Amino acid sequence: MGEVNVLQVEELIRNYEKQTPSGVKDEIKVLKGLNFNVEEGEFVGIMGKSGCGKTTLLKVLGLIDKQTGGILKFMGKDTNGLHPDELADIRRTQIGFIFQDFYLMDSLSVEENIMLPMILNKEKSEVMSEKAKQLAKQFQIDHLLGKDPYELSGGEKQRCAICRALINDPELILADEPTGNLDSKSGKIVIDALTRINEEYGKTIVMVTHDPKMAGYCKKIILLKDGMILETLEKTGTDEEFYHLILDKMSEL
Amino acid sequence: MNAERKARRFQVICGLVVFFSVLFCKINTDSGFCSLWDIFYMIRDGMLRDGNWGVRLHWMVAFAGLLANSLYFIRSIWLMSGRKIGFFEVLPGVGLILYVMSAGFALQPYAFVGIMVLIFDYMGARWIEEREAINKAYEEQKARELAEKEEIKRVRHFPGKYPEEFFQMIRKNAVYGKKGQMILSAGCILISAFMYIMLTMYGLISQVHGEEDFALGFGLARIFRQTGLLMGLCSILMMTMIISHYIKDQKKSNRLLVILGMRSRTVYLMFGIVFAANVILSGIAGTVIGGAAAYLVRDIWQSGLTNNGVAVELASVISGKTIGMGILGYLVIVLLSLGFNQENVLNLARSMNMNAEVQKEKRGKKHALLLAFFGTLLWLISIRIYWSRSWAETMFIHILTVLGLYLLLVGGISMYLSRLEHRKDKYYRSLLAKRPLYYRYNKSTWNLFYLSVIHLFILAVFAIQLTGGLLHQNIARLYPYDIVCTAYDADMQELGEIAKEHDAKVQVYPMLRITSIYGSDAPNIQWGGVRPIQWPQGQHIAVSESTYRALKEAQGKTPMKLNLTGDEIHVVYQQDLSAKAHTIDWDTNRIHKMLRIGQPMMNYVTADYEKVFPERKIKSEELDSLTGVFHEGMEDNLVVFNDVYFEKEYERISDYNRKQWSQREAADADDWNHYTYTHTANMTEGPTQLLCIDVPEKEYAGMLKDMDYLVEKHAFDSAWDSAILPFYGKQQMIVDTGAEIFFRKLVYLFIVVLLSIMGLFQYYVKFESEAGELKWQNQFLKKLGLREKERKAVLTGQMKIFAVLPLIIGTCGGILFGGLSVKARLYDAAALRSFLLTGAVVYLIYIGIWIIWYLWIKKLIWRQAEWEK
Repeated sequence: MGEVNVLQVEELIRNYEKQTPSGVKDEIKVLKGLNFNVEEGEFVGIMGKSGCGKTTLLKVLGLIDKQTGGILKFMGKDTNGLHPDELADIRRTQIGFIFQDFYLMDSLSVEENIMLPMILNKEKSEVMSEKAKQLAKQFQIDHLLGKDPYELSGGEKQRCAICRALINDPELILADEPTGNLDSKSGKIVIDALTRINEEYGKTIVMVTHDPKMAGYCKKIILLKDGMILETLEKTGTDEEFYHLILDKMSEL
Repeated sequence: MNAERKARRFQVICGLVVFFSVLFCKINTDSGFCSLWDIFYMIRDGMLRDGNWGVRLHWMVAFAGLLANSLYFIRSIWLMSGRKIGFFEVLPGVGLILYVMSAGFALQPYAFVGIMVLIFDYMGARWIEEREAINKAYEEQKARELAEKEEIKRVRHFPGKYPEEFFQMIRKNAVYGKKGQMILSAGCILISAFMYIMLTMYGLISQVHGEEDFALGFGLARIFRQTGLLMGLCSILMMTMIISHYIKDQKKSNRLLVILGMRSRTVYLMFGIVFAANVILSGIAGTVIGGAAAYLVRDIWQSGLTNNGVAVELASVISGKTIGMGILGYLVIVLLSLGFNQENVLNLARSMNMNAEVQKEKRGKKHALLLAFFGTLLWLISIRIYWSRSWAETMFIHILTVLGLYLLLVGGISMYLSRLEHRKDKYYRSLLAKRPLYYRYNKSTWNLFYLSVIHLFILAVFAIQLTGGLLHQNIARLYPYDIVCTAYDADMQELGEIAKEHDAKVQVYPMLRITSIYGSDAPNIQWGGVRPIQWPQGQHIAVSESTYRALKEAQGKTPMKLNLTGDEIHVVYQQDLSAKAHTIDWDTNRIHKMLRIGQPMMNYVTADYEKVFPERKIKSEELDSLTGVFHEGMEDNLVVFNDVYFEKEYERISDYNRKQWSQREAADADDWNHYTYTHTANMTEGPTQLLCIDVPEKEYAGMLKDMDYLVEKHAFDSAWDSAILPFYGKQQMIVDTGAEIFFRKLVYLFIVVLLSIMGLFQYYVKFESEAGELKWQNQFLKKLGLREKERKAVLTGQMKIFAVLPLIIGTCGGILFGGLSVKARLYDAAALRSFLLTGAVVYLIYIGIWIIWYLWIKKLIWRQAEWEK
């Protein structure tokens, strides 16, 4: 793992405004001052109970949502005050997204879905097509390139999403419950793929999960409770040991 | 040299200038203006030695200025010696005070120049000191702005071309979302077709009716303009809703692209190109369809006019002007609707909230009761105004009705839902059926409002007019006499000879011209300022009670018992059953009717309008044709006075006319038109003889020809309104009235059809655009175990709200305002029966169409909801 911090989070706060039934405006504090770093090549999991702010945190890290307070640095650059087009450029070229609901475009073929970030990046057709085919082969979906997303199984869709996330060779992959909608077999395939991305390609991955078994594949786990970091767990032993450690800690949540 | 030093040098120079300027000063003394040298010699010669303190004070004040001068000199020496300015900082202020104190005692130009120099010294020094700082700040600001611009330019710079796959993606997305595109397209086609049709029809109506309608302000051209405004507003509302849905659809499909990093400009460009292409192509298609429909309508109108004996060749419906104006109007509507969706458009590139579409719309609960209260109040006010007949059937009253409807819906639905929420058993039972109201409160309210407005205007306004037009009436009976003539005493001899020559039977009745302060139904509300002379003024025929009875009995009718006293009046509106209700005076700034005995006044003192147009109390009114329907109730109605009052006024006017007759005969048009600028009455005050003439058929044309000289002779009387003629012939009037009624029927039918199409289309669009959501709901309920019958009931419940509630509102409004219209029109029992029957049929047909439409759309949506892909 490198010493470059892909993500630096300092006192990160995210609040939402909500109107109560009586019409009074209330502020809901979702993230209450988080501090952590993600180094290059790390595979970090974010865990916590439902409603603790995991997905909100992931959205903020992915520059999809803006923090209310605090500092977020991506590759050493403070994202606060960046122009929306600059944020779009970062998302397009340096971040890959994998969603729980796959989030594929039903109007496009599998190949086109994979190529989408490159299409938006104005890449040449031959380059995109070649890369898409390569990735599809690596994740064993090359025989599905001409199909439409609705024709795929859940696991196949998620692998398509993984290919899309990788095609622009991003610095960071953000995965929001990537195995949440999959059966255990498909989930295993997906998590193995993510592990391979991390180990073979050295990609930095931040994954939100509530599944301790999936979390066991991570090198580091950030435990969130009520919008704050309860604890950070580092994997020192085997996957099995780490899994049991996570289980123990989850009871504290 | 630094700024401070420059400023000091400047101050030194100014100080010396101020000091030495005293040499040119002249101070006011008892001996006049004297220079300093003069004063010095006066002091030397003891001329100023006295005990007069006033004079000394005078001198002291005058010398305040000299003190200031000295201080400036001292400052200059101080600064020249290299010292800091110190206390002399306050010298400009002190000096100015001292100068102002002494200014009255110095020669004015000197005082003025002196003060200017002080100001110049102060401002100049400040400017020199701060100039560099100001310039530096300006340069920094410029540099910052430049840097920002460069930064934006750098950020925005995204070189390269999008690959073919990008455009393929756009095409595929457009095809995939073709339902949304088709709905937008259908809306655009409808609007552009309607725009073309409306413009063509307006042109045809204007061609048939000509200019007189503009002057009088009644007639189909005006109706069409008012309706055009209504349809324009409905079109904008409809397109706003369609475009809102379209954009939300696009936002959903664009969201992933935005998350994946598509640039905002690309998002807007993508949206803009697809939207513009759709709008332009649909606009062209709509114009073609509109042209075809207009051609058809023109043919129908032409055959109708020809069959009714009207010799008018209607113009072609295809013209460059109409096409151009139609497309322009259409684009204005689309752009306005897009403008109302500005926030939605901007959010296309900003929205990354994946839950945006599924979020519940907020419902305001706080002021629901207040809104409902004000809504009800507005309805009551509009009903009251309609009831009072002051405005008769003016469509503009419905602005209050529409506003009230909106408030009632917003407040009423919110209150209803809040009540339901408090009663849990009822709430859960109706939860699914009422889901659109809970979940999509704003969208549902707007749809309900739009549909209610359509129904209201159709059932409460245009169906009423259409029903009136459908009533059977004998047009010939509207003209009991072959010729009706209004003449002066001086005309009687000649007219008598003409009548004798053509073997005509003539009934002569005394009459007076009576004029209302305002004779048009175009709104004329004054908000303040000097009251203007309102134009046109309405001209009617005043008769006595005896004449009224005689006219009634001549037709075998029973006159009403009037029992008029003083200057009370009874009004006989001479119009056919299809014409809307009129009032005798249309001035909307007050309820009371103001009428003057005499002709219109080109000029009068409007502050004294009550003296010129005295208030008249209307004791009773009726609808009948006693002399003839010449202006469809707008003018030449009969105003009946009691015999005594009428006799008095008749004598006065006849006398006046007699005295003025020679002047009238010698006058030219200018003299006539400008007479009231120098007099408080007209040169003459209108004809005093009403001639009802029956002539053998073979003599009819000859008699009319012989009477034609009256048009030329009494051209002055037509100066205010060319539609007021000295005589009217029955045969032409029958043809014109027949054509008018036919035309009116067609126009109202046309308007009803157009508005109905808009309403039906909006209902279709609402559910077609939600078909996906309804399908999901149906499949979801199926998985939860709800049977088909119950699922269908849920869908029915959700669709029924939008069909039934607006229809109820429209029908109730229709019955209410229809009833008030009938009351305003003063129908007799037979006419009322006929109207109610015909109206019921019209309503039933309309409601029937809506029921069929609702059932058909429900079937369509159900089929989509049940289809599992």
